[in-house]
Amino acid sequence: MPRRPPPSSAAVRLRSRTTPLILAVLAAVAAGGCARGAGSSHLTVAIAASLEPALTAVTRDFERTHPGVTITLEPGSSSALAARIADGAPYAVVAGADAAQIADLGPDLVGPVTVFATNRLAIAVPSGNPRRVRSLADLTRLRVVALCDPVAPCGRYADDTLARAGVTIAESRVTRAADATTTLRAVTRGDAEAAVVYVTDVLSAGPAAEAITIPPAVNRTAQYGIAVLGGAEDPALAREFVTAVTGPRGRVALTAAGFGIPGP
Amino acid sequence: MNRRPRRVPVGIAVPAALGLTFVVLPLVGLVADAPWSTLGRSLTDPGARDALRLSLVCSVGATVVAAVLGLPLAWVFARVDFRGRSLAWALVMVPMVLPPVVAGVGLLAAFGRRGLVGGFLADYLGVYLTFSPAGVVLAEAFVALPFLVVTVEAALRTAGTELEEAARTLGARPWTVLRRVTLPAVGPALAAGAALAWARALGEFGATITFAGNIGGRTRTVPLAVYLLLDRDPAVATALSLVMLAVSVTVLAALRGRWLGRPQ
Repeated sequence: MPRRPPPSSAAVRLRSRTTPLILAVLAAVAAGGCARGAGSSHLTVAIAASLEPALTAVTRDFERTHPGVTITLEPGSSSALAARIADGAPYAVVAGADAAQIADLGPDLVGPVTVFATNRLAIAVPSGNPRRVRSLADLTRLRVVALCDPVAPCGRYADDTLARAGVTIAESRVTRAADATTTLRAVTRGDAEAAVVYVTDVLSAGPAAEAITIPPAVNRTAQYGIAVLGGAEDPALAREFVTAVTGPRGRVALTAAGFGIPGP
Repeated sequence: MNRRPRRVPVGIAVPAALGLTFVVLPLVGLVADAPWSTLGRSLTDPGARDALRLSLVCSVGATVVAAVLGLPLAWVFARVDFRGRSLAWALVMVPMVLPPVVAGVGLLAAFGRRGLVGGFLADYLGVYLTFSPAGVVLAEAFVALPFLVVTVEAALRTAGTELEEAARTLGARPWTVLRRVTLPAVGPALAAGAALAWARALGEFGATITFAGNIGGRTRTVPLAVYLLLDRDPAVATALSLVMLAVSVTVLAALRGRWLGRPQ
């Protein structure tokens, strides 16, 4: 094969030599990113935002006891997750804040929905409680209160609880966020003076926020449900993960995070 | 000399066609997905009306702020040589490439209750920017400003310098030159920059929801309403999306036709 005439400049020579190399490296990286080696598998788990702190611990343990398995948690509002699952998102497991809403996924589910945790609402205020909030009724005198959007379970529960307490906050003082974590962030990072979110959210926010208890008579109990989805590539592994969450290890993590455990 | 090739190589034509399809397909999807029969009802829905009104008022306000601050900035960048000019220019351009949510976090750190100047504004002047329509204007102006500055600065560099020289030679004071010669010369560019800034302000989402929250009728602009209503009321969300699409296309058409000239 005849040699090509030498390129006129060093820069051109460098480019013509390195381009195939760069392409090869990129291809290798892309291939490595997509295809996982033999014996390893991957689960994507859609979870209610409020579950993230508790399930992160369970997930890490599960990965340690199952070498080669990686798990990605995708937190979001339970209703948004349900919509994504209906649109065909490839989740293996779903764990949401409203077991009934998960049961409504019907054809996308493989097997039953297990109620594995309960949660209660609380009023979250910045640490030190600068506006001296004592009860739901106090929320009406604040400048801005953060609530979840009524589509999300935490928003429905909050609206319901406020209604039961006979408290009406003008919509012009209510900022709505998509899920519980984002709602609480309006208090911890932003300027909202209070939020109504789950007890566990306030606990996981650490010293940035404190919880004011809402009396049980008006409070709603969220029933968290978990189920394996039809999109799971490895249903056996997905079931194992569900067992880990509903089993002793999961119960310890959930209790530590402030969740209730439903009776047998 | 300036003849265009009649035949386009296949290696260019195919990817170019793909590129066009890639951009057009989602737009076609929006139009195809639109609930045309209920469009009128969707757009007169109180939530949609509030969002449209708020978006219009705030984006126009943001454009005014961007023009008032951006015009002098552009003049300084185009006409004054000072140490650190390129650094200052780069800083003004940052909001153009910054993720809008990050812009929102920055605005909180500056103008929030616990922010650098926000605490002073709240405690001494009683001005609360977060969770207010003024906060929306601020967030939108922040992301829109660079678009105005870039457009006007480019025009200032080319337009009017000889006329200004002539005016100065004839004894006009600097302020008179600015008012009578420079501003009329860059008028079209100012209009184009304002249109770009307005379009960017109208579409602003991340900085707004982070800094100003999501309060119906106060800070819930059209993009926020689209995002939130996608789960709750998809018909209204799609109808609002159509309005945004129509506005964007109109702005572009106006810019190409009147100010930037058609491509030869």
